[in-house]
Amino acid sequence: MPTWRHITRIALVALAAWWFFSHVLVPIRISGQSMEPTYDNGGLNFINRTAYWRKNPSRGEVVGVSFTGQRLMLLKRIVGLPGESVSIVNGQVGINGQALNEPYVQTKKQSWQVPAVQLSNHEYFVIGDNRDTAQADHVFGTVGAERVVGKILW
Amino acid sequence: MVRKNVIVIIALVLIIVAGIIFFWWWFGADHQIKKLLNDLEATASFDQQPTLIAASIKAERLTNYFSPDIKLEIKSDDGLVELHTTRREESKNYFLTSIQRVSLIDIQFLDTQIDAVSGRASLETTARVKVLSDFGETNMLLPLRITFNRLSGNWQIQNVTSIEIIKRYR
Repeated sequence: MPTWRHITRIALVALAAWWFFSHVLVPIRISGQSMEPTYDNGGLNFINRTAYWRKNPSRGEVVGVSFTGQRLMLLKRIVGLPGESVSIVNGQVGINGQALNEPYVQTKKQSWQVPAVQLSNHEYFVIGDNRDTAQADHVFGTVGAERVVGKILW
Repeated sequence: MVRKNVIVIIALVLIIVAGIIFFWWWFGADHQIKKLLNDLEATASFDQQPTLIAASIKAERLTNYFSPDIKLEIKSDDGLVELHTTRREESKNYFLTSIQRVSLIDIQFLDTQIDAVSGRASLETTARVKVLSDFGETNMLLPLRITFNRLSGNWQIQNVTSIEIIKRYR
């Protein structure tokens, strides 16, 4: 027969697990091809919400971008930081006029074109790794810092 | 004996407090609006190809969720069924421009954040819409901002706007 002590322990462990997996490491299932080949459709991972408690996101990091809560997020890579100018010429990303080296892009780059975009002090430019799609079919652009939930764990 | 009475009194107080909390929660704006969204999901979703009559009935039922100054009407032109929403003050919102040979629409509201203040409420939610048509399956995620007014005790939708999560460049 379970005693009150056992029930209390189980309840505390369940509460701690709920808090941990909703406020520290948020489990995600990846849906879509926009981050291929780095992250495949259907893959499982975690978003580390503590990653940006003490520092700001850096270029090249893959982050979760929230919609209106935590159940649905976009997984994107940060290429432009606040205050920078970002452009795309024939698929090549440029930061402040300099071509950005992107070793994580292993697909063919389509000839996307974006005239220079000046980011404000609280905006990031995010994009997926799969550039072998039509520009109109790929969700990328500027996002407010408040929407960046955390960094992907691995 | 005294101890037993104290336990009974404490139990009664706890039951009354729980009842008050339940009453506040049940009739609170958060619960009422989430319930309204659940009903709206069921009303707006369907799993059969809608005839003009079926679509008209749905539009009539949908009218109950919206503010009286919003008129919903079904139009049909050569078999194309359209749901139009029109504000009386002439501005037009087109939520759903056409339903043509659609066999399934499934709408779910996820990640709903409600902010309610005395008779008015606004919320942010993400509508996950699945459409099965002649063109195949389409899945959409639509982040929305919805404002509500409370009229005669009922919450009604006053305005729906989309939220741009990522500002896109094309």
